[in-house]
Amino acid sequence: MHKIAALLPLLGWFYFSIVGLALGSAFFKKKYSFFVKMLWIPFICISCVGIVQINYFEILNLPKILPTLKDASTSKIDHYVGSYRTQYLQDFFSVIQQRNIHYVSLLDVDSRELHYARMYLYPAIVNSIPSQEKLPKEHKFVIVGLEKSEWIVAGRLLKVSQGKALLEMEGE
Amino acid sequence: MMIPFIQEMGFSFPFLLFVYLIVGLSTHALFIQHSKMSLWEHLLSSLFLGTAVVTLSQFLFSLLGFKMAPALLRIFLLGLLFFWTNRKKIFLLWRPYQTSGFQLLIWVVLGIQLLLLGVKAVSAPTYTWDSIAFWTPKMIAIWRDGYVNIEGLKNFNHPEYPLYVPLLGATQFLLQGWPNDVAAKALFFVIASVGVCIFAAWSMRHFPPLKAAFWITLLGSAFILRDHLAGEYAGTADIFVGLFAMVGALRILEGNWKLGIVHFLFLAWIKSEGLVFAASLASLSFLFMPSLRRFLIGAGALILAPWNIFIRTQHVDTSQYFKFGEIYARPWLQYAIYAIHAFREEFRQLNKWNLLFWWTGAAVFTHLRKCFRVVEVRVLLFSVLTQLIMYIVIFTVTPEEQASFIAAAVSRLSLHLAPAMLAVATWLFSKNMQEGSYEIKIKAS
Repeated sequence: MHKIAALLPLLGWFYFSIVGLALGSAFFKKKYSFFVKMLWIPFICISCVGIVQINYFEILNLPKILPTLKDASTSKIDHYVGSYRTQYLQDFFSVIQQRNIHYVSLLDVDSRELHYARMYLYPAIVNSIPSQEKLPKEHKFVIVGLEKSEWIVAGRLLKVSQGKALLEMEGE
Repeated sequence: MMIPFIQEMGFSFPFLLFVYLIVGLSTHALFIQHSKMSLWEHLLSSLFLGTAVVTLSQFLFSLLGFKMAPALLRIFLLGLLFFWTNRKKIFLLWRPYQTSGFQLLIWVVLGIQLLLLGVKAVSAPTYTWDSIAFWTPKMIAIWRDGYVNIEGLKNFNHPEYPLYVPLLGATQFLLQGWPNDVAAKALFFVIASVGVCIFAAWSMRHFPPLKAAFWITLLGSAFILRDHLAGEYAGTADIFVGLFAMVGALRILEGNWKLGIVHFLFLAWIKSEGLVFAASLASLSFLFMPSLRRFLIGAGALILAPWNIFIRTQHVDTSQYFKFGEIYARPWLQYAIYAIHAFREEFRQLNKWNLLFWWTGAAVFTHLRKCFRVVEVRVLLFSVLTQLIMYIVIFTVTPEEQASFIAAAVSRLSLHLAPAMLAVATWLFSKNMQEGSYEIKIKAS
């Protein structure tokens, strides 16, 4: 008995009402069909409340969204992506394309920046390395923050963009 | 004043939609068995199907060594040629759109809603994690390479995922000349909205206006669907799995089996998870519809085989959820029960789904006998059930931490099922259902 009682909170009104309606439609087909039909009404009402509610939320959101219509795509992308589009897609990619660079290492970046760098610098293969680690043999090119002065001094500066530098390092 | 976003896209956007439409019209003419669709519904349906046919053709042309631009041009010309040679059949399918004042009001309200959501969709680029980890990078990779270079795609997560979404985005980038993911998102929004409009047109054809309005807004009020249509998840493939399954279900329910099956087969071209859905529907159709067996083999070979053979010959890691070697011993029964409860809990999340799953459950359990008797409903419900069981199995055997995996995936996996389930539910409540299925009518006649 207690197992059946445990079903009550587990299934709740959501599933029990389906069972009730199914039994109602099966057993009271003709004589009480009007009453069975009445059982549907609360659920139509709940659905309609949900419909109104969700549209209300969308309308509340409008003042935030409508002004974006005036913006160009680039400013929308920059708003979400930050400086990555300018840095990687415009500035660093042009150098990578000119010099036909295949591998680029990013020093000490979070995974979000790594994903954007991979996307924007394609077809170059981009990997992230922790700050202490040495570059792999084939990875002569590295992008570092300008504050990493020891790297800037050690490498040849190819391009600087918004606080980051693309460097060519000495091979092993 | 011209909106800057529309100005940027120029003619690329309408041209691309026109290509999808022409190819879609030709494909419709090829597979449609009978039609009561209005011209408007026919155009929407063709555009929707055209996106899948064009992207799959782009992939096939890429295998033949064609770059994207010449491939798109050839596909367009072939589509035009086919359209012209079948113009009589296509025009015969078109019926004038007869609408009542109330139906017109529904369209206006739906139009305003979609317009608001459209503004939301183009207010931001693609930004959900899956988008920046692999969907958008794949679009950029294909656009830069000019063809499907699988070695390049291996640089990103899930190289085994099919290329429907990446090719849509890459084609938009190609026509616009730079990787504008806001424009790609606009394209995804238009295609997904077309899917919703097909449901609207179909409902208005089969139900009295008030009932139709109820079903349409019930679909539109599923918060998770709007999130994928215009919000955070816009730019991923899950909504297309749900909508293609729904349109496939609508076509099967009204007796257009071939067209419905084609929609279902394309699920495997949209996302890997769609393969089981497509395969289960195809197998059940093979079992219950003997007259379609030859068609099933042909369409399956054409739609399912290319990508699946390609990734296996290119040694792409296809074990996205688990590797058999990584499965570790665990209390299997408890894991399976936990996965079942995850879906039980998900289905009653009113803030995400409204009462969409409730209406489906109520429709099925109050029409249980008809569900087994009518072949269309039987095949669709068993396919949905197979897909659901597959997700429960995946949640049970995954090597990832089960609770986190379920929390991250259960809503979007439910989205694959929900629209098709709603389609079946509406049918069960309709008069057509009481009259019996098309198959029964055909046999009786």
